[in-house]
Amino acid sequence: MNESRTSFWRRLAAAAAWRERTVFMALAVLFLAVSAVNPRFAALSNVLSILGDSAYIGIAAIGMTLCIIFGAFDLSIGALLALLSVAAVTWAPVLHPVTGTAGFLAVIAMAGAGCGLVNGALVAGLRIPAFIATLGMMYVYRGAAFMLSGGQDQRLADDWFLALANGDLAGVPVVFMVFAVLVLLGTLLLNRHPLGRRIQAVGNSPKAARAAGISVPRTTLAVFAIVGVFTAIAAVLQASLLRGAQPGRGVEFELYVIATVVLGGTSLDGGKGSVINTAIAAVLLATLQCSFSFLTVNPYLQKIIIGGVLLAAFSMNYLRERAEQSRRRRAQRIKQTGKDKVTG
Amino acid sequence: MKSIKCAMTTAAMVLAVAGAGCRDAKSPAGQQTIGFSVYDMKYEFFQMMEKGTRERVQELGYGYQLHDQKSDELQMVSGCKSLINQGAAGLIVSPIKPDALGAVVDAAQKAGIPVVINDIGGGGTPYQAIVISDNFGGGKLAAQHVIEKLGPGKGRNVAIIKCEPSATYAVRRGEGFKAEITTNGYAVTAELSGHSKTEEGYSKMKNILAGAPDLVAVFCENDPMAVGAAQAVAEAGKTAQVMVIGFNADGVALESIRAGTMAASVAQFPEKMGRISAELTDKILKKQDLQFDDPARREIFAPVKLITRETIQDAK
Repeated sequence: MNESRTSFWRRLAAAAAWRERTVFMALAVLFLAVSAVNPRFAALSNVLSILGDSAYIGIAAIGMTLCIIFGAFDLSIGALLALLSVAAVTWAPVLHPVTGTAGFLAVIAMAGAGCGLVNGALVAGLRIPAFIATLGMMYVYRGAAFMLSGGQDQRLADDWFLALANGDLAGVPVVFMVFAVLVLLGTLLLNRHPLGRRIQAVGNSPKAARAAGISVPRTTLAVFAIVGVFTAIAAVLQASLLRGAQPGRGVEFELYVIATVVLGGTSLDGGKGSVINTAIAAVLLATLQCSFSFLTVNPYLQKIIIGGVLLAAFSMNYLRERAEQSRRRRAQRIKQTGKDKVTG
Repeated sequence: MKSIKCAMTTAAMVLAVAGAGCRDAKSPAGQQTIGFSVYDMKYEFFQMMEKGTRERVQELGYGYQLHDQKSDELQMVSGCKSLINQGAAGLIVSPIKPDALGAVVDAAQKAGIPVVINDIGGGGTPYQAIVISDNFGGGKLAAQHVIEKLGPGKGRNVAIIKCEPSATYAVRRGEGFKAEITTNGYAVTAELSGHSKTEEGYSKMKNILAGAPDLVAVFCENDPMAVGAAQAVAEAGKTAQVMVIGFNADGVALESIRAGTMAASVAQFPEKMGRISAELTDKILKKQDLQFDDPARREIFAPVKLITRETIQDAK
């Protein structure tokens, strides 16, 4: 029994490591292939620019990774991104003189957490499935974004605000550094913090988690609040890059973010996944987008290629899970026959 | 698991090979390249603009690089930056969000390459030039059509239904119409905003007709509002009395012109606009002087044309 458990964990670890390599290998192959065609692609300035581009989707994808591992979706983040960026831009002239930059960021992050808590409360308190609850909230946040902005684009080009996403340190875009730090924090949270372990436990089996004394509602609230915070960070950085906010921003953002998470190998069944893989997937998608431009790929074909890559990743996830299941079943059958022999 | 790697590898290879083919055809070694970042290739207007830009850029002997923003401001910024990173000698942008152009123009300036804006707006950035349709002139054309058909005004009433005030360029259409029509003796009895929408064009037209039953013409700053206004006019049984003129020669407007409910629409020529933007970029790269129609705003006007039932074949 003990032995089989060790080998199970070993197998799982091996699978995780392999998966990590898979996304990374795909990224490496794509990068080398495009660089071979156009050496400018591999220029440091272009690599740094791609890394910077990956941050906006990538940061939101960290929160979504935790949410999907937990066994839920948040479809509201695109609309929430719009609402929070509108809020950031319209509140900044009032808030910033009082709070300073750090305080301003904290307020927006808290607003994100608050909106996330509303999502979480609907799921945990009213028992509305996350898919439906966040779909409903998607419309609420979108409407709120239009109300807060009066339907108008909001501009903000103050130096302190533009510095958030437009600067670089020794050539490395600040947004990418923020992204890297958040990936590290997300990984630590998922693998080292008790909350991360609770998220994985609920994702694996809510029943078992409850039996183990984990409060599923409280974990739900925490997960959605975290998604809200990551969305808030992405919203402020985007608003800084684009020098303002518009209430129509972020349509289909949630789908792109979910696609990134799944491309990173996180299982839609919940329970397992990795923040680092998600980050690599975000870089992979940004690299793909950039290579379209470098290789002059027909704009219509681009969408087909992205769809194809996602479908390939999804079907491989499915095949991998089926292979794992059948292997587990076979192992169990062998164990069973062994036991039968002993009792017989 | 191996297969996912295989799939990705194959995809990358296919991409690379496809790209290699494209590049060889389009930019031989040593040639300067002009990049064009387009608003969205799903719209016919921008497909035509892209066609004109591409053809003229290649005729002028440059390599050509296209990027599609797909109506996404984030892609606009990252795509333009990647055109710059590819070493484009010049950049043409028809921006989805002019306000978000700041980061693009900054990066281009850092790389020392000129930026020419095509349509939409420049967001107050230090671009080298902007190409826009002659909106004021288009409004004047509409007014001249009314005068041609009905003779001098003698105090007769006309109306204008406007886009939202933030649509800076569309607003000039109404100004052109107003300037021309009032100098010819007509009176602008009503000037209302229909917020660019068909339903508001309809409701505002009903109000206008109630206040001025003797109205002889209405100019709408875009076609959706003109189509709505034409419906209100038809419902009041005044199609023969009120000339409805729109702007842009949209498909629905052409249908209304064919059916006789609308008198005319002013057509823009995106393909021509694309060609102009390519020529401007070429001139800037050759350090030649530009002839601006509005030097203060660095604007260059593209020609427009009045489309009536008789000239409907010119709209395409």
